[in-house]
Amino acid sequence: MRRAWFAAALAALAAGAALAQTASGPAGGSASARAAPDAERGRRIVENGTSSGAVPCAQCHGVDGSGVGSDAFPRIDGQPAFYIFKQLNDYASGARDNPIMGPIAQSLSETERQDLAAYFGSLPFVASPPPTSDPQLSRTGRVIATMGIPERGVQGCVNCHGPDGAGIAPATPRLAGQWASYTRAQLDAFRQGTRNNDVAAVMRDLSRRMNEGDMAAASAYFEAQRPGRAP
Amino acid sequence: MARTMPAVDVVFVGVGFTAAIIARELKDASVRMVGLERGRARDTVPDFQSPAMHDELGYAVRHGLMQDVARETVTVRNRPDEVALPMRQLGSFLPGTDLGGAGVHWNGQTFRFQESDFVLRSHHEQRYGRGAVPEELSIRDWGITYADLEPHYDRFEYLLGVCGYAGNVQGNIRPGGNVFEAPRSRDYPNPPTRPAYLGAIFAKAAMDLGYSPFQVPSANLTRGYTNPEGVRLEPCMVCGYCERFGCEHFAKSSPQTTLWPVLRQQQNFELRTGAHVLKVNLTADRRRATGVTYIDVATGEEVEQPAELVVLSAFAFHNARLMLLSGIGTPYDPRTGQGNVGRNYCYQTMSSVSLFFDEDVNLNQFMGAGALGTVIDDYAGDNFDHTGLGFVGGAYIAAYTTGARPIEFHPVPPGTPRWGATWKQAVARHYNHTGGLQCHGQSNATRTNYVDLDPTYRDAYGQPLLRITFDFPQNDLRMSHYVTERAVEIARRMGARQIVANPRTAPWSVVPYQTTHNTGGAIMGTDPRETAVNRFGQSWDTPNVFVTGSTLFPQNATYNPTDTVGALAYWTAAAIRDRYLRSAGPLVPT
Repeated sequence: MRRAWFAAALAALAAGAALAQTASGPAGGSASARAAPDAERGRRIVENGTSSGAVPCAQCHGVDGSGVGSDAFPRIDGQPAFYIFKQLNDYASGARDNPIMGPIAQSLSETERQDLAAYFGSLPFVASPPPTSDPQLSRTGRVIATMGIPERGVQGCVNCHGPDGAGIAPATPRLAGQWASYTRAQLDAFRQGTRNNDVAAVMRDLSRRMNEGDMAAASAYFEAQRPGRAP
Repeated sequence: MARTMPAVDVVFVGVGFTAAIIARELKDASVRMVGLERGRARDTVPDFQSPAMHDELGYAVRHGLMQDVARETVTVRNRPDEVALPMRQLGSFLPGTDLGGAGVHWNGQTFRFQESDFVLRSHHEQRYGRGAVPEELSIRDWGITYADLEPHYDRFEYLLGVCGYAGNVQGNIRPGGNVFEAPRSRDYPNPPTRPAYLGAIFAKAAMDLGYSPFQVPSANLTRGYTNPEGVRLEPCMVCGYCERFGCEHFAKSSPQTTLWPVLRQQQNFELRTGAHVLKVNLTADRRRATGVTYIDVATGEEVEQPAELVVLSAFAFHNARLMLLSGIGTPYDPRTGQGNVGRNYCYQTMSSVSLFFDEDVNLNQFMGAGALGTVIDDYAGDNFDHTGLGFVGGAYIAAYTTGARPIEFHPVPPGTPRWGATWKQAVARHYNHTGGLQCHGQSNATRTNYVDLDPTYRDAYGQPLLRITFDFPQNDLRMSHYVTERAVEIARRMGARQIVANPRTAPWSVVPYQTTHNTGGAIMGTDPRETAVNRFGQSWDTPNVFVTGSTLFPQNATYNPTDTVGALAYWTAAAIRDRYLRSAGPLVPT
């Protein structure tokens, strides 16, 4: 039993290490059997789709990955490549349930998913002018983002998502500049459990201790942030 | 002329884990309590928030959360015939300060001691014969047993939300956990951590060699958890900033994350910060404490706090110092062997093995946590037959992945230049491909390792510094070399390209960091002439003074001390609540 437990842990780790390695690019090492991710191949899929039926990503997310400002089409430019890759895998497996992205991700090969991750991960975040948001909402959002809501055990968002929500590669997504409607919808989804591919259920736990106003404020705050690239 | 505050029933000197535990245990007692903390108040918000908390220079290198040695330090020497000098920079150990004490910046490695650790001398004499304990060692039995302490270990571990897989539940040995551990009454409250890559390689190699690896019991939480006090902790994000840092995620168990949210609302407890206690005030016959005198560090004013009961709950050896400064008990003199305060100062016998792997082994140790480790207990304590080995004690061998932070973690093989382009290339080559095994060893007491008051050097308030006289006993060096050799064997099996053993050598130096596991000085036991306190932590000489912390340990075991410190605090709290408050006086007749 002991051996079985560690063997399972080892197998999981080996898989995890391989993922991290390929997602972090050629510098990650040479042991992987998978081809190195190719951002240029990824760009071609973004613009043209694939012969297996994936629509061009640009249709909804834009060629530059900046989305279209609705809660269904997030910005994915400048997200950590590994995060994109994991989301595509989760869409494909159903771990992240989404009627639009599920079939698209399923039609992509693993190589295509990692090429797309490499492409979007390599894009500079497009520093469009931040939206003008309600100053009161932004102030409240800033407090939640930086210090959390201690009386309800909600930790500050930036503790994991990085200063100003810049994201922390490989696994923690960038929130800065993300459309507030999308962030808000994700918080709702975590709260209702319809999105449940978070690490250690931490977002599901946190969102249950946030109210509507907290979510709106934090989402608005992050939409207006323009930090540099994630470290 | 000191200002005098209104009298209270209980005064705590230092507010960390142990004071907070005892104060919570007395919440329903009709006592008024005040906790005196020399530092300031602090909490997860706003004091431990990211990104400021991830300032490695400020906290890890410049010791932002530690005791300020410009105000108060210790003097150190290896032997009684040397002149001790003040420790002017923190190095070998890192005492905390401010609310929560070292419970804020610890790693969270939460091991219990073994049954034999509490009866160390009699255990060895029974198993190996009367002459088995080397002459140089003054190891002792504690006066309590593991069975006495088990319910209190349980309380503390459920308070913290310790994550682990039990290897021995009520005598049922369970592979996958620590099969050597003493029986626990029930499972850990939370599931174990998952091995990091280094730990997984270690586990495989250890199993190949016939050992029994398990995950280190962790107070970095693996899931959200509400403890029996009703305080909520959150899951660890494996950010790699535990030891020397506060946790911004409410994920490392500390006084702040386990007790303070309820203690701060407790009607019969007052926290008073910026209160640096100078001494315990005694009656003329020294048989009774009348309270304490402290400096209000904001004004420099001397303040007297009368109290019926004094609990010395400061960091380890500070408690022994306060006893010596106050005239509680008799100072130990190594020349005569007389005296009961200052004896059996012990530490931890650490060694390590560095493993330099090929470039295709990516360890990614920047994703780490203070207690994220895989360990074997096969060479801990007396878990292995010591016949013919020439030493007592042992060490656990662990593969920890605690963070690989950018300033302090840059392993390079021996022979690499210390600076310049070649050094930089070597750091880049080895950063993600170098791991370590730690041998975390027992520290046995000797007659010449002790603490007393320094005859020369004084602190910012004019009081003599504590003087530490310590060196590693020959016994412990032999033990450490033996276990380090076993670790090298495991390292070979792990497939490292180059293996470098870093065995423990004497003399003890105050400069490189080793551990903050300082023990002894006000030890517990059954003999009032040779121990400072009885089995409940109560002073033999001044029975309305109780002492907490690792200063009570007659010697240090293989393991990290915090679990035992917490368990002893619950044990002492029960004795105060259920016995002392009903009938004040010595709980053990002399």
